[in-house]
Amino acid sequence: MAAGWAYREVVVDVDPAAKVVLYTDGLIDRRDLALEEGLERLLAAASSERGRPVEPVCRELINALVPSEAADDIALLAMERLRVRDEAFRLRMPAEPAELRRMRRALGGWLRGIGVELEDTNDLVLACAEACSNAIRHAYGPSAGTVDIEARRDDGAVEVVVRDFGRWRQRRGQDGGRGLALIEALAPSMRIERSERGTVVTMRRTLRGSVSV
Amino acid sequence: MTEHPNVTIAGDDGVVVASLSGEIDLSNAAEITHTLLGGVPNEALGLVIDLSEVSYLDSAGVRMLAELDHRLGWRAQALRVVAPEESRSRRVLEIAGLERVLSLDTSVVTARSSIEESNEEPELPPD
Repeated sequence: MAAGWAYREVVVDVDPAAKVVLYTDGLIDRRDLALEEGLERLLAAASSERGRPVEPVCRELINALVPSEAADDIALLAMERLRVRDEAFRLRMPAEPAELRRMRRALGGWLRGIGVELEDTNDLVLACAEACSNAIRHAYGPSAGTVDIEARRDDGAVEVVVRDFGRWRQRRGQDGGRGLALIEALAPSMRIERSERGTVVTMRRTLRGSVSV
Repeated sequence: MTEHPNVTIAGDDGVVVASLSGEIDLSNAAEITHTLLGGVPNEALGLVIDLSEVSYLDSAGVRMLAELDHRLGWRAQALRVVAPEESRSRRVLEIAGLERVLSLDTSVVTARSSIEESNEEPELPPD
């Protein structure tokens, strides 16, 4: 590299799904091969690897392009934007009031961990706790069963599903609907599916603070 | 008087002030209700429930407050609930529509004086 060379800064738009491969000229610039042909081979090799993890792609590019006795040193850097997929939250809790606190801690911690803002987190935890409380109050007899909680982020929303395996009794007392009313206010697209095998409450809330992935 | 870890009761001038703390849910609301009712003597003018230090409240707490309001109402004793603006408790009570039923205040001082003032006998006009 000669002194006094000027480097230009350029900005290139890259398709989010594209793979970016940076390389030193040793990869394609060979005595036995025209530069254009080297480039074509590189493009063909890189394109054929679409959708695969970048580490093996690097190895395979080098295997495909470099003869065993390379004349020049070679550096190759491949980058790809990963679609970050959150692990879903899953918890099975005994249908006991004393377990609610632990569920709230676990779900709240998970939501904060994936970047959900505090107010959205508090509201989602509250909605979930109401659904769990209803299951505890209505689904089982005194020999309590279990409640399953699942949560996942879906674009700018979080969906929480609370599932019990009992059959809700007719509500007793006039206050039975308070919990459901709270859920509806916090997660307006609530749905309840009752079947022989249990009850599934699905709550979805669009996040106020949109989270970038 | 029964005691409960989430409840501190202080009384003077006939108004009982119960400060609640921590998390109120299905696991403890019934016991707290019991403790609060046991803390209000028959001669008390009313009860102030301070939710300022409550970190979590859900429909179990809402039911608790509605029941206390109902029970104190039988005995013509006032209930006022202190829930600071912007607090989590305030938000839950508002979503649950309880601010239309209960008397909410933002400080214990105003809650207490509301009860005391409403109890003052109207002064007779001087002859």
